[in-house]
Amino acid sequence: MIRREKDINLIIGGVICAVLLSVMAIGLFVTPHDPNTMNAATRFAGASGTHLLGCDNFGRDTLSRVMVGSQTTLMVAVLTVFFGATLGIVMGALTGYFGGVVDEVLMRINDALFAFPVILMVLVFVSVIGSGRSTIIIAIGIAFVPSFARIVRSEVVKQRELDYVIAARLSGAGDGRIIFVHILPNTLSTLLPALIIGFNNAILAETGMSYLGIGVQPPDPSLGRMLAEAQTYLFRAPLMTLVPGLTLILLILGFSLLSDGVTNLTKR
Amino acid sequence: MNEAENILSVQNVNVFHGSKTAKRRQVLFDMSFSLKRGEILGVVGESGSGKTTLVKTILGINNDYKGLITVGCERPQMVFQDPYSSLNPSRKIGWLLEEPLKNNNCYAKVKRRKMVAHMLERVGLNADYAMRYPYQLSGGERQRVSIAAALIQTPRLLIADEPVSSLDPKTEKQILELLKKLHREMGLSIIFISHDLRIIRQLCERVLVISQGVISEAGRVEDIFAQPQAKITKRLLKAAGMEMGANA
Repeated sequence: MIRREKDINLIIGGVICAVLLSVMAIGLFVTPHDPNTMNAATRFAGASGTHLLGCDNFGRDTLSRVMVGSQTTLMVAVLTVFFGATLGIVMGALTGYFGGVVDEVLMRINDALFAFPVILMVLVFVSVIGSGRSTIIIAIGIAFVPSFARIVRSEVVKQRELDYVIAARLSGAGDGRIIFVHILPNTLSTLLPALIIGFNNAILAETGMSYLGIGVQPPDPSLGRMLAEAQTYLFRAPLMTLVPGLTLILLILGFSLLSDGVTNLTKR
Repeated sequence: MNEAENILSVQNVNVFHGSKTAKRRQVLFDMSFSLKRGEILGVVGESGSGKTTLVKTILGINNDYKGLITVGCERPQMVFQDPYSSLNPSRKIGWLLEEPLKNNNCYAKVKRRKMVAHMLERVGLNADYAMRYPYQLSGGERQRVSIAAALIQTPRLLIADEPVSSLDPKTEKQILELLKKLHREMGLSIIFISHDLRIIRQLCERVLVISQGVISEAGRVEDIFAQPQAKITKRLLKAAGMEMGANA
């Protein structure tokens, strides 16, 4: 049974995420200034009425760049989790349900993938197909496949022995229908928190890659890219670092709390 | 097998458990029996005697066996022991009852919905139950839904695996009455598994007594109860407070 009592993590996490997502959503349509327009007159400008959170080393408005940059980070994270989770869920469901040789072969491939550090995986992809958003989405997504596959596999192994699955088989449902229509919805209580944690990891991974210069390329803003550009001017223009840094912290905190809240909510 | 008379024939069936590479062991030994059309056959035995393994083999869930099983009807159905794990928790009752009809491409959506409402009423539940989730139902209500899900495909053979063992006495009585009624109305053949001989006496015409994977005794309920031959039968009768000559 789903617990209905209020969960403080869910509320705080929900509020933080709602505020940040609203700011990003507004940034889709309007920003205070063009995020890529340079202005020598406003280089390293502090907070003011015109530039609420100051300007960077090229005189670009920091608030506008954070609004657009966090969208980029979020979009990359969403697509990464979508890509990794889709492959992982399908792999985990098939191995868990069928077992035997299918399980052995796919899970050994999974183990091999698991052995690769994310950064190495991304570097390999960057060197083969070049840097950019799509490269890190594919590379980080593939690195995420094993964790999702393991979570779903263990849930499916538990569920496939339950009587409702036998009843579904007796009612004439095929294997595909049993896996995707009968069993998978029952793995949601475990999968949903894992998806949110995966989403957090994807945000951090994207930020890390962009910080290292192998993710989002200039002049497009992303939180990691902004942090990389700001590090040289840490004391001269602290807002350049603080704003994207705090946005990143709040984003991770918000989704972590949301994950805890969802975990509590879906406990049966 | 006498096709006209028997709906199920089990001949010299030996069943195995465990993977084929390790720890494979035999759990049922040389079982032979038949079930007549419209008959209720009781299968009784202690826990671990192989009752559930037997029915899972008949239903094709367990395929590691030798011998001949002939089922004279399409899609025999099963009612499970645990009403809490036999219904998909993430789906509404209406969806669960409609699913077998969808899987077999039977009927249009409107007709399916009508059939679901009719079947719910037939098992003593209001048609509004279609909109509820399993967790909103009691154990007895869940078991009624399980029976409805099994019978909506109008099977000729129903296997009930200790369907009342986890229910309170009042609900147990209601479910047994329901099975009797549906047996009469639909002409169902039923294999009723239980470890409780009192229930077998109320419901069944013939009984198989299973012990350690072997049929210890088989025959008409009255005969077995009046003159039990096997030790296990005597022990089960004693456990049910129905020793020879006693009227439980």
